[in-house]
Amino acid sequence: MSDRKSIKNPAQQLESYWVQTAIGILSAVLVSALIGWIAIDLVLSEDTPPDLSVKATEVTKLQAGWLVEFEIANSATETAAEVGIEASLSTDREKVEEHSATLDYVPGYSKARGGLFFSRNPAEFVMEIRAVSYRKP
Amino acid sequence: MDQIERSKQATFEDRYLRGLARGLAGALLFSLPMLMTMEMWHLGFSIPRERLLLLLLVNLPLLVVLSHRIGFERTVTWRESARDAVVAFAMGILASAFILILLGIMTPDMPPRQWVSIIGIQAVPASIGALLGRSQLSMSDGDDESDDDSGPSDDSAAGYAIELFMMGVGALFLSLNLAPTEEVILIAYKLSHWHALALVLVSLLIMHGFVYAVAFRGSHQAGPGDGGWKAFLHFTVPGYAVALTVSLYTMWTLQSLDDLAGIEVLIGVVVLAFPAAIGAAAARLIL
Repeated sequence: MSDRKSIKNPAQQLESYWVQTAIGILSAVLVSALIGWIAIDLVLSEDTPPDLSVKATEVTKLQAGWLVEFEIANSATETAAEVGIEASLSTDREKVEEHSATLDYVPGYSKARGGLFFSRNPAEFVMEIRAVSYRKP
Repeated sequence: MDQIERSKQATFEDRYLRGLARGLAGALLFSLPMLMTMEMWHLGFSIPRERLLLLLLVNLPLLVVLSHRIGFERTVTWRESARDAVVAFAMGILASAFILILLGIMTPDMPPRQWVSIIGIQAVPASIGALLGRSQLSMSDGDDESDDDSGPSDDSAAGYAIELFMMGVGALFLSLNLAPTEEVILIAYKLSHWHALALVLVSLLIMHGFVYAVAFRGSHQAGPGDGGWKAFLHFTVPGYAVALTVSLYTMWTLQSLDDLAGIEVLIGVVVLAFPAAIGAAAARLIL
């Protein structure tokens, strides 16, 4: 861009050299840390198929029914795609209401969140939520 | 006397208008890929207010510095650069709004807060495009002498900072285009650790290749023999660090990283940093 032969100021050049070297070293540390983390994780963890557990986090009364918010956690390394979730409300004798949801991705070691709408108050029944299927991404 | 004054005024206005037209063309050119991406429209619904606000606030000083370097016209003072930056931002907003309405993405029955979100996100790359349009689409005519004496000498720390900044702009531009899409995070989910490490290596290699190209072009580096370890440490590695940081920031803004574990975040960032790094290196070469 600049073809101008600037007057070389040695003091400026030296200062610039040290600034550039300092930034270079800092960046090298950052990049090495990145590589190191990935390499360590590579060595320490083995690929395990998705291990999904769901828990309901909040129940809210809405204008038309109840909302049950849930959180699904994957404690294994592999990502699960199109995770099917089923939830049911039951009494002692029978299932009263059943719903399902699908989550696009639940990545390894991570969580995903969603919600289900019920027409009955979940507090009056036994609620069960579980993951029932997934697809390899 | 009068005639000369008038023709000078006409030439100045003519140049300014042409600069604006190029800026508008640049805004459209650089923002159309994002304007026609589904995930960007959905972000209008879902992006948290604070993240959008932060992005727009960060965009302003970015535009001012960028404008100071390569803006619409020869800008000598920071005030002129600020003015051009604001104009570019406005052009970005208008261009985005126009295309979104034209394509039927934005409709009158959408709530106003959605309009603001959708346009706001799109306006950032559009405004960068508006400023870059001037630099890239310009043919050599009189007002391009400013390309030769812009900014402090490359020998100084300030010149180095500007170099890193330009790399950041290149990285930001490419990562904004790619980060919203599902494909980036999908690649990250499927990637093995070996692939991720290879990506880091290849990103660094390609960046360094660009650094070599810049050195041989002879216009950035002061000293001879650049392109070796010194360039690697001073430009390639910091450039990649900039690409990583920009990728992390973009993905965070666009909510690709929420609820993700540490290692997944890292691999996601590495995936996005690959094109971002190329954008950064190319920006330094081209701009």
